[in-house]
Amino acid sequence: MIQVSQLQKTYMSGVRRKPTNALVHVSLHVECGEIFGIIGPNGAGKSTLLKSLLSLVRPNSGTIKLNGFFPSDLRCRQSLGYLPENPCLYDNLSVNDHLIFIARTANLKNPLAQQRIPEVLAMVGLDHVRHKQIRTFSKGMVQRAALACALFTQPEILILDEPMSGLDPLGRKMVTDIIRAYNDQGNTVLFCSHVLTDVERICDRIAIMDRGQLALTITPQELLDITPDVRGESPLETLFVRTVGAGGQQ
Amino acid sequence: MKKTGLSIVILVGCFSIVVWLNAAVHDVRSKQISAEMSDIGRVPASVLVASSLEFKGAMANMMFLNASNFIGRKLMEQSKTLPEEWHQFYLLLDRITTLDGSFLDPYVFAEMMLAWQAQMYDEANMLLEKGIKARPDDWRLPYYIGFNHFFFKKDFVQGANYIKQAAAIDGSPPYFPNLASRLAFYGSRSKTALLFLEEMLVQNKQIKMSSELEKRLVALQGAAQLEDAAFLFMQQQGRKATSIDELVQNGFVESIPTEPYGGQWRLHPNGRVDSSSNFITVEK
Amino acid sequence: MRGVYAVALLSFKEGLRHRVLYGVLLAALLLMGCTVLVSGFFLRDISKVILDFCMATVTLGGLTIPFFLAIHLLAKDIERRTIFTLLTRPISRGQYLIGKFFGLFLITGLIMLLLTGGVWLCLWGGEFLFGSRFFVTVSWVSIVAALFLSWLSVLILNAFVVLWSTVTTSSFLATLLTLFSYVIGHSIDDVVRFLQVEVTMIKISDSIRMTVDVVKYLFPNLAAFDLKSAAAHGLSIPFTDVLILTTYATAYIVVLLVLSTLFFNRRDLA
Repeated sequence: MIQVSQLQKTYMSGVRRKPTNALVHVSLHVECGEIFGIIGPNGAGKSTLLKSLLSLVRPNSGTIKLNGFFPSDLRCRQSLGYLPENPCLYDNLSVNDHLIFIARTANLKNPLAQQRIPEVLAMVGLDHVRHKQIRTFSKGMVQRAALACALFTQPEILILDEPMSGLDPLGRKMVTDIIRAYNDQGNTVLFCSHVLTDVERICDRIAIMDRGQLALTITPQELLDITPDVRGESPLETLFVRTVGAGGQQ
Repeated sequence: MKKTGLSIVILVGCFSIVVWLNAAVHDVRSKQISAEMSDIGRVPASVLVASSLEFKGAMANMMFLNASNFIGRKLMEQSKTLPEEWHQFYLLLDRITTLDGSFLDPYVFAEMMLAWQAQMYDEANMLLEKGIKARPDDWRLPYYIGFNHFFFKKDFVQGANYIKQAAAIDGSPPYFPNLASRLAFYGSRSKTALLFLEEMLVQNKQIKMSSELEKRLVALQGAAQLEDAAFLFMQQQGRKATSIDELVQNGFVESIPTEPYGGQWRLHPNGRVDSSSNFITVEK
Repeated sequence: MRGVYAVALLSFKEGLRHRVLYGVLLAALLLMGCTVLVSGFFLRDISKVILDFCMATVTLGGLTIPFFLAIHLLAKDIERRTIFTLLTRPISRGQYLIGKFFGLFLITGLIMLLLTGGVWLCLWGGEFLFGSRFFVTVSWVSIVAALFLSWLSVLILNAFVVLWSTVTTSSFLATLLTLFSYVIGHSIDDVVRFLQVEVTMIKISDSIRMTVDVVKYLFPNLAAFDLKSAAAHGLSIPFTDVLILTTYATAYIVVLLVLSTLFFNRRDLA
């Protein structure tokens, strides 16, 4: 369960400390076992929100609770998996090295880890390159390797930042399937994307974010009531353009 | 919050240890550097120049710092500098001036240390000659050499030549031509020496007067005062004074000036005054 | 502890896979080999010459870690965001930094240990070539003590890399600041000595004196860790000195790491 209330984050950039509001009073509630998608234009604050959940970014105000723990509490990260945007793994190490590291941090006994590694690699389709260095990987392979890292400890909450970027259609389908399967086990998934179709397809609830604010939250059922403005556009696209476009005109 | 507090406690604790051990660590090194002095002067100049790449100036500065540290340590410990060490010091200065010929400080050092402290006049002059080549517009360098010739080596002709050379350079004190001719003429009169020394001190204001220089200055002032009195005596009495006491008795000097070297003033028939301590060796 | 251990091991592994390291190792061993031959040009102090060169090479090899590898493992880690893989695990930022430091600790130790083996080979080669009468002054206790102290000074620099990587946002700046720390650390003691000498001819302003007094406590006295020439001459290095320096280095490293943690805890990794 993810609870976010009144989250506020202002970045100070440049020598003059020019403030930029990345998050403006964001409140969010994601139930256990839900797939929650956040969409929004570039620079809307999606990544900042996700990073706040992992305590990579310290919000100026507001509270976050993940399964009842504050993000700065290390226990909360025991049951958390995170896939960063444009994941970057250690070039000189193999996926195997990464997974062994994760097993160590999770206090997973070696035999168990040895059992789990091929399992998770098979899931993302990387079992044949287990000992290859990451430097030899293509972008899609790195993305999948990072996903394997996120899934390795079977976390209760999975946070994905643009999980589909850099993947071919087959890869996308694979990731979608993984998210679904994972969700079927009763786990929570929070992800953000700007590929609307992916979000529409798998999410239980969708939030649209714009300029640091959560503009609205909607379920796929509610989307059915929306008639597209332009022929061939999906209802979500229409809603997105309406929300973000309206904001942009202000 | 609790963790931050703990961190600060550890930080302060460990930093106190660092501060506390600072002196001990300093001492560890003291043992090492007093055991050995920089041998870099022994490296052939050509090798040094080549290996300094494009950092010759910086290299020269570092070496100069080393040289002045060495001298400083010697002065602080008040230990006698061995001839061997002076030679090493000379080599160091020589390499520095090879690396960076226009660097003034080593020449000043050569004059102040090699000439004044180590009595290595020829070495000092050799370095200063190098300096004249590299800094032809600097009147101080020929002036130093002239000073050495005059003051230490008693070679007044050479001294006068160098002062003339210095006088020809822009910015040199206006009385230099006069000084040069006086030098050639009077040679070793104490007043000339005094003038010389005072000029030396004026030129090096940023340099703290070493006790040696100070002493010499007081001695020369005394000698010059007595010589002036003797000259006046001759003018007024029409004959030469026979002793210092005679000058005092006839009121040409109020009291005998102190001789900082602890010797007795001596009045010579040629009107020159020196001391039994030989703070300055005058011709017999 | 588990987090520190995991990060240390991962960085150790990653560092060892770095090709820079093999280049350094190869170059250092070649250099050492050359010194054995070059030492033949000298007359008497052959063992001293060999040891001077070899120990300098060991230190140089060690120094490549903070200046090249550590920057890569830390500043680049933050810059390229590979750090996310670590920090999204149950690892606090302090644990991350300490773990990274220990990774570097291990790598530096390993490299310098291997190069110390090179010193041994060189001495052996020298003895073989020139005869053992030139090698009577060699004291392995001193050599090991000097190299251990040299390792400590490299470790202090590694801790500086940790600090500067957390303070700055670019790896270039971190390298530059580490270089400054190295230069200051090596020259501050000489400056202190210079000022101690009251009799020096040059007047020094009080503001300079005060600055130096502050700086001498803020920056480590790295020059004190250089006992290589004593070891090369076969002089014994007092145990108390080694103890003082070890305590000093340890305390200093802890200061740097705690300071880094305090800074890093406040930093956004956007």
